[in-house]
Amino acid sequence: MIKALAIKELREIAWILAIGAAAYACMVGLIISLSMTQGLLAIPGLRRFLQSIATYGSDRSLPFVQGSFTTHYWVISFVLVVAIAFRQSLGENRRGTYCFLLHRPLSRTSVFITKLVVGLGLFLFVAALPLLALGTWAATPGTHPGPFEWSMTLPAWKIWASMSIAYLATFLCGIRQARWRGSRLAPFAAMTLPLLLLAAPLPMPWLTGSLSILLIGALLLNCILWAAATRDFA
Amino acid sequence: MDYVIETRRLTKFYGKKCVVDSLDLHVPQGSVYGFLGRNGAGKSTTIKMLMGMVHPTRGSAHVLGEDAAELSPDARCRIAYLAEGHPIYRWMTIRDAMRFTRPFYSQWNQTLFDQILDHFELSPRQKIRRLSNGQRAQVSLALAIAPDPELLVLDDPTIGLDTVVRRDFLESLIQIIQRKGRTILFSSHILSDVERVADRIGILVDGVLRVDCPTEHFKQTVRKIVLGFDREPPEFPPCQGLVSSRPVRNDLELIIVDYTETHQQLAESLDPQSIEIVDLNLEEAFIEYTRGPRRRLPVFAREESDDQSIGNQGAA
Repeated sequence: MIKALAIKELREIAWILAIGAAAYACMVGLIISLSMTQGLLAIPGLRRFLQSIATYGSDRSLPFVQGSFTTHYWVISFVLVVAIAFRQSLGENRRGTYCFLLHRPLSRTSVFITKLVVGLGLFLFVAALPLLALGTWAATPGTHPGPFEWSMTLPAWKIWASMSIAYLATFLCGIRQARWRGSRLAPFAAMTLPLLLLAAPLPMPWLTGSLSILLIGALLLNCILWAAATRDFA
Repeated sequence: MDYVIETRRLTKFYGKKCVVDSLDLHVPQGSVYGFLGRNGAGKSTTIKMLMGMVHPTRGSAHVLGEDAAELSPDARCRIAYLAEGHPIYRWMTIRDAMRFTRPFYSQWNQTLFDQILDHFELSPRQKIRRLSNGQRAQVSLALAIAPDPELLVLDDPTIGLDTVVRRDFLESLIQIIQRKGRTILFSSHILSDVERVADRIGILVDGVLRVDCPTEHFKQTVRKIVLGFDREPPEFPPCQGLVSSRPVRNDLELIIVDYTETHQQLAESLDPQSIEIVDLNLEEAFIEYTRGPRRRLPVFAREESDDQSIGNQGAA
């Protein structure tokens, strides 16, 4: 039955994941193709245009370090993760299907844990693909004029990991009851500062960052399960 | 008597508003219980509390012997619940909905499910979003019955259905009822539906359970008495069992629960030209009963022996 529920969740968010994957593919594809077609940049105006939409066109940019890759990766990931979490939590509410779902003979905790595992797991999988693809490409000799080490990808991985906080905070916003929309978003507002700190390119020992994400994640998970157990699904 | 559903002083507040007030509901095993009430009376909230979807502010509810707020997966396997509006995932086909639901139940009866679809002329390939309200109700019913539940809880299952579909739906329900030991609790606005299938009714008025008795008993006990006068009708004196008193031209129409000799004497004391006792059907009885001054409505008390309960009602 967990499998049936997981498949249902997967099918419900598949289109959002597909859009996200396409956005990531465009971003990575643009970087790689621009690097492979340096000659095109000699065309007057084209370089400036490409640099204006994304600073990938600079031949001095180092993947993951220079250019706006991490900013764009953050934006796409954030939009994607918020869309997935709201679809899974608020979507059931809006369609009135919680009564149908929660009457299945499965504990409420299992239902919500399954939702979270599928949603977050799939997001992390899809969001890891552009990092791995771009990293692999950059690590391949002869593809890029600059030096590359896998440690240069750490800022991007930090964003990747911190998005789990955004996912859980959004899910909590979607599931908890509130008198008005402003207070519904309270969990998200509370998570904004930690989220920005975790995702910012600040020097932070990886252990501190990981522990922070785990602790905040555990707190949010607890809040979600508590909200699921105590709220009215009217 | 064994009760499949039992509530004790079940109360629900939304903010400061009391939606369900100290509800003592008892649904006997094997009965078909029609749960009635006007819009906003608290029927859906009660059903949601019974299914553990809404938490009561006070009181308790037990379904199949378990606390309704913490129904175990085993108990949920034995209960079919059709929520109001028949919520099913609209992006699914009927087959998808079946494939999603089936793994949750060990006793899934695929033959029965197919038979029901066949009966309603539904194809498993049809998308839920393309179905009419009636067809969605039929799919919900098929999904609910296939696990062979002991208890069916239906929240206004015929709402939005046309007469023919409603009749068809109810006939299917009757077939299901015929299975021994199965209990059905269903809420409805359509009194003729309830009259057709329910052997027992409960009426909620502003969150208070005013009636809990066999359907026939309710119909027989609520009476309309028309006193004809050759002058402007006088006021009828307040008494036990009087629901409402309404002058209509030279007549005085009284709605009385449990019309007795005392009422007869009071009526005669007004010196009317005629006294006519009118039998009401369920719909008329329900309307007359629920539109009276609500705080003074006589309560139909639940009795161990319902046959004797006519003479045992007290004023609220």
